[in-house]
Amino acid sequence: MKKNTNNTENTNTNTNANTNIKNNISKQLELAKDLKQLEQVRLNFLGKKGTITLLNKEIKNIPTHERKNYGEKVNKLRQHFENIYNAKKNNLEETHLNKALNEQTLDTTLPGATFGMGLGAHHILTRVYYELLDILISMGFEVVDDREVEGVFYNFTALNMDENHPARDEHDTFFFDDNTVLRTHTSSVQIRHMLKNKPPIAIVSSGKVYRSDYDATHTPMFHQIEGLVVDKGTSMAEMKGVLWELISTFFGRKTKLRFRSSYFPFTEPSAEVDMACFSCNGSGCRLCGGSGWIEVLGCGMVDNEVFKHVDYDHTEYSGFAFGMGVERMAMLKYSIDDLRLFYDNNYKFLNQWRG
Amino acid sequence: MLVPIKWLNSFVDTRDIPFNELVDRVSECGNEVDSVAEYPCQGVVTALVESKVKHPDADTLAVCVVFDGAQRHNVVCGAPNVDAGQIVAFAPIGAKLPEMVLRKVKIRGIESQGMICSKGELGLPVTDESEDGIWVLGTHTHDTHTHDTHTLGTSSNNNGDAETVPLGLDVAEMFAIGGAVLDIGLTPNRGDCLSIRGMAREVHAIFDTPMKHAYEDVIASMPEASQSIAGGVPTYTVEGGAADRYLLAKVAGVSVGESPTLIQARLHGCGIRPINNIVDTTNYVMLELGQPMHAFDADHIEGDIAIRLSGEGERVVTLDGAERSVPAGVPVITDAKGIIAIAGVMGGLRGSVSSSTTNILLESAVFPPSLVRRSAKVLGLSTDSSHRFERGIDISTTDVALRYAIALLNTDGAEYAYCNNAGSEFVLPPKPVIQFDEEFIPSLLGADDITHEQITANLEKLGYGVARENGRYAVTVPYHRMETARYSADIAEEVVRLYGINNLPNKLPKLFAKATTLPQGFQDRRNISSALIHQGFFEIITYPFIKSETVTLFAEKRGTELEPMTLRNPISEDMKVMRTTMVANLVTTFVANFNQGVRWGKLFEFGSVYRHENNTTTQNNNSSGEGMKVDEEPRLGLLAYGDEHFATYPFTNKDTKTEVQFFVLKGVVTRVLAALGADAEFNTTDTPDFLHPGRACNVILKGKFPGGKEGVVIGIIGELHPNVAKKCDAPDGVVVAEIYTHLATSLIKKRVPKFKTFLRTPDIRKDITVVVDETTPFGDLVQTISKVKLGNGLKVVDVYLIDEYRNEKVLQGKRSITIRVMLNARESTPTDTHLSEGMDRVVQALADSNNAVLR
Repeated sequence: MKKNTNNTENTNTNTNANTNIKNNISKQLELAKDLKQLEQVRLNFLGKKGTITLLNKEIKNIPTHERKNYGEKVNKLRQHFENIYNAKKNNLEETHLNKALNEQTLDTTLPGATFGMGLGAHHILTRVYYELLDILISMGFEVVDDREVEGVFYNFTALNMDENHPARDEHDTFFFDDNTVLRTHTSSVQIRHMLKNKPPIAIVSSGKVYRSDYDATHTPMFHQIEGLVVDKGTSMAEMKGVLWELISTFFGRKTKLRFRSSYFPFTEPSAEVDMACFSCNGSGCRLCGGSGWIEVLGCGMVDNEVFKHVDYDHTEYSGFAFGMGVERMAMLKYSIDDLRLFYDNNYKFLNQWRG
Repeated sequence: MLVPIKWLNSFVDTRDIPFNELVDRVSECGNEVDSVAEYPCQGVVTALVESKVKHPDADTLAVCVVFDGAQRHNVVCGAPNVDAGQIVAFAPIGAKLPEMVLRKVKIRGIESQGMICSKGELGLPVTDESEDGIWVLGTHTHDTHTHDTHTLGTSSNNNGDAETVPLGLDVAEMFAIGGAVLDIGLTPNRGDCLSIRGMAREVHAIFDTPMKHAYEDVIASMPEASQSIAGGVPTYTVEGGAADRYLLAKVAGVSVGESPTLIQARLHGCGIRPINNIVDTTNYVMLELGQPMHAFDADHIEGDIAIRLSGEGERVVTLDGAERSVPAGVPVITDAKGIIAIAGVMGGLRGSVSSSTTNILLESAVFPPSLVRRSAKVLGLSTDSSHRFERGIDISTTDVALRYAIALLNTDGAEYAYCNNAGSEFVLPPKPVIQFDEEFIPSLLGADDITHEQITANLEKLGYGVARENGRYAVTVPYHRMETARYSADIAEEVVRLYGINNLPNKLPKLFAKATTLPQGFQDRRNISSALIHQGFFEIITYPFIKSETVTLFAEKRGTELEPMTLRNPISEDMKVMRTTMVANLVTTFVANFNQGVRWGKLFEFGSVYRHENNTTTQNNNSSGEGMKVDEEPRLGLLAYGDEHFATYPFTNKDTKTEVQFFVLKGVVTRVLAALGADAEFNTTDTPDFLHPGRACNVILKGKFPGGKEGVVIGIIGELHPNVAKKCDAPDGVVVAEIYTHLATSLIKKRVPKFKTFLRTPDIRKDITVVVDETTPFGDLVQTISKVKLGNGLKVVDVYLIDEYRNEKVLQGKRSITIRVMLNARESTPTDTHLSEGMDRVVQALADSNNAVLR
């Protein structure tokens, strides 16, 4: 830039110079192909020895009364540069980003890196077990638990099944010695609870039970869930209501229940409960053996003899009890057709129950 | 129990009740109809064979003209015994038999319009092989049709039936052949339903159908008993409460032969084979009235009869020829020479009825149910008789049954006389009366609208006497329910089963306000299961009883003073001993799947292991019913095996699958321990023998425990010992783990953490690399670093392994480990000087304790 002493000349020259610089700016910025080159352009104009920077420094050579004007012009030039520069920078950054995004593209349909750790699963019995327990808990039942190896008092005697009772035959039982058995039902857990707690109670006992029976429809071990409610004025109608809630909620539909009078040593009156066959809606099919009904539960009002063994006053309290086989419920709800599948633990069975 | 409808109809006529309704209501009222069998036999009529000529084209066939009283039919018949003049069972075209429906056919060119039937073709029992031919119902002379209607079933000539028979009668109806048979699953408290009469009583109560007692007519028409009889009658005495009631009669001059067809057909319908008229009569009365009976050959009985309890060491040869040792204290029937029957269970061989018997002693009795039960159980015998005695007999009709049996047998004017009771006279016990408040039943049932009239009516229909006064019921129990109606709830049951449980409303109990949480064990199980499932594990459930050899193979070192438990009556030898570790079944299940081609295994099981406590294997001979002391311990078992997709594990030199497997499972166990809140460490002392000695460790719960123990073993992890793997048919490299979850939970006191303030400055990481002996465990280095006192308020927050490097050439016998130590200060940001001072101390400690050299 030449030093000018003539004002008019200066102005003209300044304007020309301005235009030149602006052209330069446009051209150089346009030519910048990447951020690195862009930075170089920036230095060319705004760096230590940059055009606009030098112009700024020249202000000391400008007559005082023209400095304001000059300063404003330089500023405008600077802003001009920065506007185009910023736009170009954004542009370049965007292009750069898009290029990177493109190069980083993956085939997202490739399998996820589970490293052989695809989801496992609960055993279906456990799942059904929890389903039933959760329903009962939601109704106010307390979960209780106790041992599997039991004394005959807790498994039989307290439940009104003494040595000579005909019903004792029907429990083909595993013995360790004359007094020790593998429990044949979880009622023993309820006896223990009642011996330690006074009514009112609402408990559910559950778990593995054992019977010496092994064929196509029986396994020597299976799972039970049993409930017990004892309070003043507990009635059979209340038993029906609770069971209806339980079965309907478990099977997910309003179902029809049929109660048949029956017999258990520890309840009187007793009943067996059938549910309307959901496969044929009561008209008869293979699932229900043509009767239209599927047996799901046993239940009844607690027998006085049981109360005597646990020191509950049967003149003040009454109670109902009910029990069901978890395998049976699982087979009905999930259409499993062979009891033995539960204990074969074949992978093709186990992995059906994910989720 | 089998109930033929036609027999039932002789007590209550069910023909107007829709069959499905009959089945449903009988089931609902407590006697579940398990199945219904139909024996079609329709349209078979009595007919006369008017003529018989040989078939022109077949040597063994004849062509007969058969007249059924209305029409004549041409019938081709192949039976050797068919002849003109016979009255036969004729099935015309369209008739239905068990095996077929009759159609018009041509047999060797001649049209046959029906079939002359044999007993077998009608579904009747065939007792004699010579009965191959057609069934001859009677004979007829050529010139007259007589219309004698001799009542069937009371004569005892060879064919069992009347000599002249009207034509055109329905044979199935006459002889109770065919029809439906209900198979009823009776509950143990309904001994009263173990007879046609008993079931008829039920139907009568349910449907209000009138009930007839046809047997009473039979009894009414029998002749009087003789005062004295040829050969005399023995006396009998009941001693020691061996019988609740005992009656004996002698019938002289019987001839042993076939029973009438009606009796045979009815027995057959109930699944009992007809044998001879004596045995059949006793079975018939048992089935019809519910009173078991027994017959002795009077001529083989010596002296008088004693009904007493057996002593020690008595023996008898029973009817089936087996010599048996009689348990002490059970009822037996004896004569002068010894035992002639095990009462209520089985008769002896001596004194039993044979084809040559001419005089019999008929016994009708009630024996104490619990004694018969014991008898049958010890002897391992269960008969139709013992079954009924165990469940209770109606003591008020024992004498009626005896008379009925005599009447059925009493043919050709045979004599009979009652034996004398030399003991105390029998008195019918009073019927029990059960009393209760009148609100009891409506309240127990929750029946809002049941009336006292309904309650009374239901009970009376079932034979109870009902009185109600001053707000109290007094209910008299009938004899047929004496064994089982004990108190008010039993009465409530009788009321509700007729009322219909389904007719009760559905109510809900009052809500309990008591809040409860799941037992800790349940919570832990759910949490741990979730964690395992998300790491790809599958839960299995297995039987806890396994082979004895397997238990031995997987024995633990710890706690061997606790013995495994053996079942006295296992299902099989393979399922005899209770498991003492969860590992065994995991391996078995894995191997089963492996053999099916599954090449990976990630399995877990929650279950218990079982051992005798206190080193006692001797029987617990207490009478209180408490079981033996058992150590039943819930545990978690894990198994891992796989050759696919495992992330490489950076801390081993050899990248073989089996090495990785161990650490993968250890990682899983680490998470499980975290879920339990267990502060645990690992050591290799005394790991179980079934694990690879160099690839196993114990899981130790840190802390101070009773007995001055520092640390308790709460689990193991390890690769299966190659020998064990081989014995189990498992491949190499199966890794297992077991966590004693119950034990851990009982020892870990503080599960709920308390908040600790934390410094908001970031932790500082310092990495150092040291060289140690190959055999120096990494765990030791961590121990050393954790114990260093760093000074200046610094503390070690954590220690991580960053890298491990081995190279035989460069670092013989040694390995290079890079450790990251995370540091922070309690109160203020540490200075660089403090940090390097602290790290110097760390390096020094490592050098001193572990011979570690800084790199």
